[in-house]
Amino acid sequence: MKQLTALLLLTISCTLTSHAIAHQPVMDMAPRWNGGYGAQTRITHANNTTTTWIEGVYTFKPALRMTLKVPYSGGESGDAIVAMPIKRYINSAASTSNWGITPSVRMPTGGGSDWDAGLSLSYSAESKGYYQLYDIYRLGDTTGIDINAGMSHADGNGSSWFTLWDITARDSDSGQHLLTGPVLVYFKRNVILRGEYKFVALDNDTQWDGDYLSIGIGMVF
Amino acid sequence: MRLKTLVISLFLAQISALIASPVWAKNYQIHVNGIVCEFCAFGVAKKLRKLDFIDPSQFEDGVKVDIENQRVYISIQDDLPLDREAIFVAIKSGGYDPIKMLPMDEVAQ
Repeated sequence: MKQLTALLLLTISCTLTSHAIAHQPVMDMAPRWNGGYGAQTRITHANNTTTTWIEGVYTFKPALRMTLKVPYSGGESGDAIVAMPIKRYINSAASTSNWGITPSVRMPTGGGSDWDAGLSLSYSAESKGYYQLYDIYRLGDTTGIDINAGMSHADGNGSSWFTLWDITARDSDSGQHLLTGPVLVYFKRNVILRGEYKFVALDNDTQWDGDYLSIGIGMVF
Repeated sequence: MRLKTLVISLFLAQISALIASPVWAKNYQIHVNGIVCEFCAFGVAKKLRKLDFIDPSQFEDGVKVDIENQRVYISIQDDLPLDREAIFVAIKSGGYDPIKMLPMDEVAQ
């Protein structure tokens, strides 16, 4: 039943398929359990364009997930990205970390005809009070690096705050840009809220203009 | 005098009951490596709650996760046998590594 629900979520996502910031882990922290699934929506504003992302994730087992990201902007759907994160978890006494390798495909669901392949290498670690994520990837003509690092604050009753700092670097045929700014994440049981604001630290990109804002909400089951 | 005897008898009966059946006898503490995030631990609690011998009247539907100390607490129903292997399998499938499991009365000592 839960697999059917997950499939339904992914199918709904498929129906709402723009070129936008393409890569970011879908809820990297969870679900990390067998048969876990989740969905989230994010609204991003960049380049004077507002984009709604519908994202889904299914975890076959902790080492293997499947994710789907579909952008929707200006009344039009864009190119969907399917990825398969393969993770190697390391659990130690008071911390957990994982190495990940993620092949991905960007499908021309937005009306084009080009298929793009991608590959990402990532590492994330969390200990009591600290979280860090490093991700380097290549997708289509874009090479990128994402870094999230900061502190977590748990209240002991099922909810936590994460205050992180993000660095996003992109290099593509149109040039390079570097964004950086704060990220605020709130968890309550199986619900995640995430907000981030990144300002331009470097812009040599003919197709990039201005700061980046994102807010999102997701749930895992 | 009769009332005093009755109160003392009731008190002694309560003490006897506590000795015979410790409050913690059906509760267990499990040391779980890596369980430092409430959000990530949701799956462990979910898997454990599916075990039919978990007592949902205790803790939070039978399970409590303490990310400060990397411990998981479970409560077992009185009339059902404990399946230690099923508990460890549930935690593993939740994405974490169980290390050891102790009855709470041993932990309390």
